[in-house]
Order: sequence, then C-alpha cells, then structure tokens
Amino acid sequence: MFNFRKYSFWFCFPSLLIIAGIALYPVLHSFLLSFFKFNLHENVIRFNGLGNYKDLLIDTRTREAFYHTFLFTISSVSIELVLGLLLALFLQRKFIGRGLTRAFSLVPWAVPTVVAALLWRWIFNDRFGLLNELLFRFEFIDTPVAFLSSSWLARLSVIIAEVWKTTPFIALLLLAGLEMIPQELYESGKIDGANAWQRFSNITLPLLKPVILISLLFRTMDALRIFDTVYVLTGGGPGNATETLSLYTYKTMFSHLQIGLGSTLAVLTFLTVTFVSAIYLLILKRSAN
Amino acid sequence: MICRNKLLNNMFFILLIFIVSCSKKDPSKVTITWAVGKDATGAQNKLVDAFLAQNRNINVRVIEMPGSASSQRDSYVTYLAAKDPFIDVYSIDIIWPAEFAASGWILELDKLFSAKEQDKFLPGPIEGCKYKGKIYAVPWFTDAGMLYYRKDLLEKAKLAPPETWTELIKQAGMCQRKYKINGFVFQAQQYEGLVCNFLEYLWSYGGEVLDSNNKPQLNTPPAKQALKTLYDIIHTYKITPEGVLTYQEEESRQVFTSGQAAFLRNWPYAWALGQDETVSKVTGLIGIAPLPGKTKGQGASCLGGWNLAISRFSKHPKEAWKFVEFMTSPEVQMIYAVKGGRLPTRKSIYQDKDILDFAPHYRDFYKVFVNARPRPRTPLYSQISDILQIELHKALTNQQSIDDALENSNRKINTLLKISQQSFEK
Amino acid sequence: MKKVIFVLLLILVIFLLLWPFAWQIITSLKTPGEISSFPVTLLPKRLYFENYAKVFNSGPPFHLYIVNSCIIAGGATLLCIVFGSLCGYALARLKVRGTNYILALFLGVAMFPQVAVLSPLFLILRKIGLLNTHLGLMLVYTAFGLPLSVWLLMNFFKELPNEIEESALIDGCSPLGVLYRIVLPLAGPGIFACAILVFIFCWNEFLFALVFNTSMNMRTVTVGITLFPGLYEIPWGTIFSAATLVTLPLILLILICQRRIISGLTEGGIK
Repeated sequence: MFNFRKYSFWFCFPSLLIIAGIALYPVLHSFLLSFFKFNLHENVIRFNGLGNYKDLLIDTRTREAFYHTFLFTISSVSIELVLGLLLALFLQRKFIGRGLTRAFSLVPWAVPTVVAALLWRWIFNDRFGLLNELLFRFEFIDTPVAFLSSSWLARLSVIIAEVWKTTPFIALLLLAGLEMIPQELYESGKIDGANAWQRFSNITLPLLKPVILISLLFRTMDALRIFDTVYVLTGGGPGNATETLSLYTYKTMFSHLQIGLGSTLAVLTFLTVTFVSAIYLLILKRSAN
Repeated sequence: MICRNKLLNNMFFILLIFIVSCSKKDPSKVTITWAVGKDATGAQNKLVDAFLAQNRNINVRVIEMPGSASSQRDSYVTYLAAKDPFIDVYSIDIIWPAEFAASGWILELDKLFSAKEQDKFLPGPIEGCKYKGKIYAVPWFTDAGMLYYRKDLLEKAKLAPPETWTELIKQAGMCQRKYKINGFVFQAQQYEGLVCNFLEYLWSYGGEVLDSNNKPQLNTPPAKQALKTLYDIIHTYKITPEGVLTYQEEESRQVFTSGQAAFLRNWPYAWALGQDETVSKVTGLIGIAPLPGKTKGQGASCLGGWNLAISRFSKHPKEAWKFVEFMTSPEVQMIYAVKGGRLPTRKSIYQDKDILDFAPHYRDFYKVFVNARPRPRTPLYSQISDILQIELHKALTNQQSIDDALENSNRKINTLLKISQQSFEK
Repeated sequence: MKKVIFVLLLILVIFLLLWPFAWQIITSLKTPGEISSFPVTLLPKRLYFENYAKVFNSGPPFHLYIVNSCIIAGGATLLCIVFGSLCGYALARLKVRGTNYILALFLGVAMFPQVAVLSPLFLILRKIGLLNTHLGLMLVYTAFGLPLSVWLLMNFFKELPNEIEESALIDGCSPLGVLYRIVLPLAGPGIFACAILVFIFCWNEFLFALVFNTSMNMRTVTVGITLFPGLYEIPWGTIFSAATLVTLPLILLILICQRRIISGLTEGGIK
C-alpha cells in the first residue's frame, strides 16, 4: 500500500504554504499590536498590556457595536437560511429554463458589493427611490418615508439589503449539496411509501445537514464582519444606531489612526467569530457521529 | 465647457506646443509620483503634460484615486504608515494637514513657501494647511459651503436672498406653502458633511468647537442656539424633507436641481450641474449667496478644498516641490479653473478680468471664499468630528435632547484631549 | 392547475430575486435628468445608451480593468480549486496528523477582519515585490479564498461513497489518480459551487485591490467603478451601467459552465 503520510503532507503543503506566507503573519501582527497603544497621529507606540481591551469593554460604543452586529447577523443569516433552502429546493426541480433561472438566481451575489450597497441607497432614497414610488403608487403612504432616518427602519433596511445580496450564497451551496444526494435514495424512499414531506425530513435534511452547517458557518463569519452595506447605506447612522464592529474598527484604524485600538477591536471580533464557530463545529461534530 | 476667451485659449495652445515639442527620453530623468483624486474633465493630465514640457529632466507618474475622500485616505494612510517612498506628492483634503504633519508624514514647507507668497492665497486655505504655526501644504483648489436659491421664486415675491437664518426660514416656508416644494435642503446624514453644516450655524452664532486653549466650547449658549436652529429647521418649521437626515451632497443637490426645493446649502460643484440642461430643470434660475447668519453679515462658511503636500519619505523632494510650485502657479490655476472647473486658491485670479468674463459667478464665489473658515486644526480632528457626527445626529433624529447632545460632545471631546495630552507628555 | 401554480411561483421567485437588479438596469438607461426627476418614472422615457458609452470613454481604461479582474479572479479561483481539492481530499480521506489543527488554522485566517490585516499585508507584498502585479492580488485572494474551498471540498469529498475509491486504490491507482479520475468528477456540483463563490469573492473585493494595485493599468473593476464618482458628484447612470456590464458576463459564464459541469459530470458520473 501507499505511504499515505507522505502523500497527505504534499497534498496539504501548497495550501498551508500560501496561508502561512500571506495570511498568517498579518493576523499574528494584529494580535501583537492589540496589546500596544499605537497611534500614528500622536507618534505613540508603547506596550499597554490589556489596557486596550479594558478600554473597549467598558465603552458603551463597543457594546452597541456588538449588539448591532449580532442583531444583523442573527436576523439576516436565519432569514437567508430559510429563503436559501426554499430557493435551492425550488431550483433542484426539473423545469424548462432551469439553467437560466439558476444562473439568474446568482445575480444578487454577483453584483459588486460596492455597487449593491449604492443601489440600495438609491432604492431607499426618500425622493427618487423606487421603494417610496411603489408604496406611493399603491397608496400605502401619502408622504415620502425616509427609510434610513429612524433607527429601526434603518436597521431593517440594512437587513433587507444584506438578505437580498447573500441568500444566493446559501442557496448555491445547498443546491450543490442537494445535487450530490444519490437519486436512488429517493427512489427507494418512494417504494417504501414515504410522502414528500417524509422524504424531505428523513432523507434530504439529514444528508444536507453538514452542508447546511458549513454554509451557515461561513455566512455567519461573513455576517459578523458586515461592512460595506452599512458603510454605504447609513455610515453607521442614524445616531450611530447601525454601527457594526467592523465599521467601528475601520473608523478607528483609518479615520482615527489608532492602530493599536483598531487591532484590539479586530481581535475582539475574531474572538467572537471563533466562539460562534466553535458552537457550530460542536453541532457539526455531534451530527457526524 | 467652451472657452471663448482669447487669452486663455492662447495660453492653452502654447502649453500644448510645449507638450508636442517634448518627446525624447533622457536617462538622467527623475520620476516623481503624484497621487490625486480622479478628475473627470481630464484637465489634470493636460497640466501634467505642460509641466513635463517645461521640465525635461523630470518625469511625472500620475496615480488617479477614486474621487471619494475616504478611499483616497485608506490608500494614503497605508502607504505613509509603511513609510513608503513610492508617492512623492499627495493631494490632501483640507482637514488632513494637521494629522499628517503630526504623524511626521509630510514635509514642512516654510523655507520654500514664504509668508509673502502665502499672502497671495486665500486666507482660509492657508490657515488650513498650517499646523503649530508652520505650513505643510500648498492650497491647490478650494471649496466652501454656500447658499443656492431659486432666483425666479424670490423675484416673484420681491425678496432679496436671505441674510439671516430667520429670513431663510421665513422665505423657505413661504415657497414651500406656495409652490408645494421643499423649502430648504442640505446635508444631515451622520457623516463629515453634517459637521460642516453644523459648524456654519455654530460660527454664525459666534460659537466655536475649541477655544484658543484647546478647550471644547460646545456647552455654551451659542452652540445651543446653533443646534436649536438646525433642529427647528427640520422638526419645528418642517421646511426640509424628513429625508434630509439621510442626505449627502448629491441627494440634496438632486432635490434642488430637479426643481423640488427653493434653497440649497452645498459646495460650488453644484453650480455647474445646476446650469447643465441634461441634468437640471432650473437652469438659469439659480442664484448664489453667502450663507445666512444669526444677524446680517455674520454668516460663516465651512472651508473645503484640496492641497498639495510632499511626502517625508520622498526621494526627490526638490523635484516634487518644483511640481507643486507649478501646479499652484497663477497660470495653471487659471487653466485648471477654466478647463477643470476647480476653484483657484489665489486671490488675484478672482480679480482677473478674463476669468470674470468667462465666469461672472466667480464674483459671488469670492465673497464666500474670503470668509470661509477651516475646521478645527488638530491631529485629533477626525475623532472630534466622529464624536460630533454621532451626538448631533442623535439629537436631530430625536434620540436625545439638544442639551444632552452638546453636553455629551463637550465631555467626550474634553476626555479625548486630556488623554492625548497625557500621551504627548509621556 | 399544478403547472399554473408552479409558473406563478417561478415568476414570483424571479421577481423577488431580480427587481433591484432590474431597477439598476432601468436606471442605467435613463438620462441624468430623468434619473433625478420627480415623480419617478418606472420605465425610461427613451432608451439612453450614453451611460454605457461613458463607461469606456471617460478616461480610465475600463476594458483593461475587466481583463485584470478576469486574470486575477480566474487565477485565484484556479489556485483555490487545485490546492483546495488536494488539501480537502487529504483531510477527508488520507490520515493527516493534526487535521483539526489545520482546519482551525484555515478558519482562523478566514475569520479575521480584513481591515486589520491591510497594512501588514501591504508590507509583505512590498517586500516580495508584488505590489501592482496580477500575481500579488491573486495570491492574497487565494489565501483568503482557500479556507472556504478547503472546508467545502473536504465536506463534499466526505459525502461521496468510499467504496469506489478504495477499490481503485487496491487496484494500484495512486491517491492523486483517484482524486483526479474518480473524486473530482463525482464532486462536480460541489466544485462548481465552490469555484463560483470564490470567483465572485475575488471579482468583488475592493479594499485590497484599491490599496495594493494603485497603478492606472493594474486596477480591477470594482475599483474602476469607484473612479466614476467625483468628489461629491455621483453619476448614478454610469455607475449602474458599469455594474451591469461587469455582472452580465459573470452570469453568462455561470450559465455556460453550469451546463457543462452539472449535467455533464454528475449525471454521467454517478450512474
């Protein structure tokens, strides 16, 4: 037989090399800087221990950023999962024009992120926006609504834009998972007299579970770092009611030039993401056993 | 834009000849790199060609950045924090010189840019380029907040453009009732533009963000009056659309040029768009005036604009200075104004007969520019602005009272200044 | 009856997915005056293609940016799929010491906020002289696309029935041969999905592209689009035209690839 060990090393080697060469150093570098007071505009760099962490954790702004980030993540990812699963099941059926529909269903994901956010800003515009125009034409409203000017409407707008943009991501992965379930299983299920719902809950769902968890894992990791949508739509407003962790990190690093504090924020985000992923992984492992 | 003026045309022609006559490459050439925001008119590149024609031993590489200030800043900060020598000349926003100077990123220019020469420029931009009494950049083009109004509507009502906030509120309210359009639009999203707008109210009431001892002055009566006026315009008199709280420059400009508002506070860029028939429904109906004040003649305008600075890490500061000198020279500024629509920073150009023939509205612009004030000049400006953006927007969206907003801003800015004072001392 | 309901459902799904994009195209076909006119027109009064012309003749070489993006995103996707399937296969099937650590490492890299790694990455690329090159961005995107690829592919490989591979190994096929001849064809849909996701991630990335490739000819499309707005002015028509222009080829590409891969490989492979 083969020496698997030798093979496995060389199989993993290129990926590890690229990760180690490109991405590992910057990550470790940020970790290190998170323990420093490092402000470019004050020419200050000195060791600060856990000072940055302490400052941030007692800061209400950080807490609010955490709250908004979780709010956006939980609501958008759960809606996306439901819609994505429905979409994937729909797209798996055989019908004329399926290929075209599948390709089109990826459109929202394919629109450049920078433009998608601008597009939604334009749609939500109180005067020239499509949404106001439609609501007005169908007589739901008689004066324009400024969607981005009140806290909850603005948050809702961010979630809508985010769901539209990323549902295809989940749908595509789930579709791929569905495609890889052997048809024989369904046929034997049919022979055993299982109805559609039973086939779905006994065959599809269990077999799809690992893909669901992985797409959830990566979507959650992404959603916890939501940036462009918020930055372009509201800039964090109204009255900072939509500022997320990554937006705060960005402002701290590039606008305030506080590299140390920004790195700490990044590490905090990282730790949060790690924590959430660990929970997913635990579920994944349990489901595998 | 068509330039009918002989003199200007000739000048441009001469420059073009220079470009054509310059072609051969020289091995001893020094290459400098200039990072600058995108200019849709292409005038920037032509000016560079003209420079190349005059300076055979220098080559200029232009790096066009996205127009938005934040995109430019992201790149510049990365380059400068890495002490990268690649870019020699940066074009920087008027609120950056203090920060970049304090970070040790840009060269001090006092020896090259004498006080006598500085006097030839508009006072606001020069102030904005100074940090701790030394000058760090040369003003390249300027920008300032001004009031656009519908000439036709005011003429019908036999009114002169408003000089006080009270007048503005009255006139805007009248137009709103009579013509079923919005009275007044400006920028009040949570972003830098909101601070610019607020400062114009604050200054006109005689207030200030920082006093001469660097103490925040936001819990004072003028500040309260200023924010109260701004709040009342939106919520009490309701002469704005509610959406003004989500507007940046373009959104407010679109409402005005589509004929949906009587007054607009914006930067000079809106003028050209307002006269462009493919964009605007109110061509020829727009007037410009300085912003109103608490009382007549007390209006203040927030200064914008861009400046040329030389990187501390540049390997060719001499050549870089030559380039900066050329780009800010009277002739070039004149051409840039005509061909690129950018507003000159040299006072003399606003008195130039040819320019005034070409662009009579410069007379009105000048009235605004000479009184325009730079935002607080401190390396901590972006943090101060961030505090103001959040607190003010909370007040304007009814999430906290006016008094709380100002009290909070004052306290937070005070803490910020104290902390940085400590770290400077250490 | 069932058919009618299905068609209606189909229309509804397509509408929900596409209306913002449709609005983007509609806006891109309006004149600047009509874009900001009130009341809003739901369809352009007359088709105005000037916005599309402006994308290519307003200065920056936009066609070049499309080429750059294709090279960079295509290259990174290829690297991600090749390296990712090798690594994913090893982790799924071959016994690798410390599998969990490797997976955690990948996740860790993918989890870190990208704003924070911008400056150190800049230093690395400068050191190895890859600023303003296709290869530099390609490597960066590969590094950030690999975690997803490895995890996904590993998972898809695990789902495949093990028997065929084992018998092939016993017949004397090398692991590389098994991966290439048996596993990859079977995992077609998974690989395709993964490739699309990585490609679009690279195609849409903005911040790294903005800072690392500053030279005029090395920009990518996303940065190219942000070159249209001025300091304050936002030319909605041109921006939306450009966005439409860069999205449509992507859809076409997906359409062509998916015919090939999904129907060709799976249906032939499994049976």
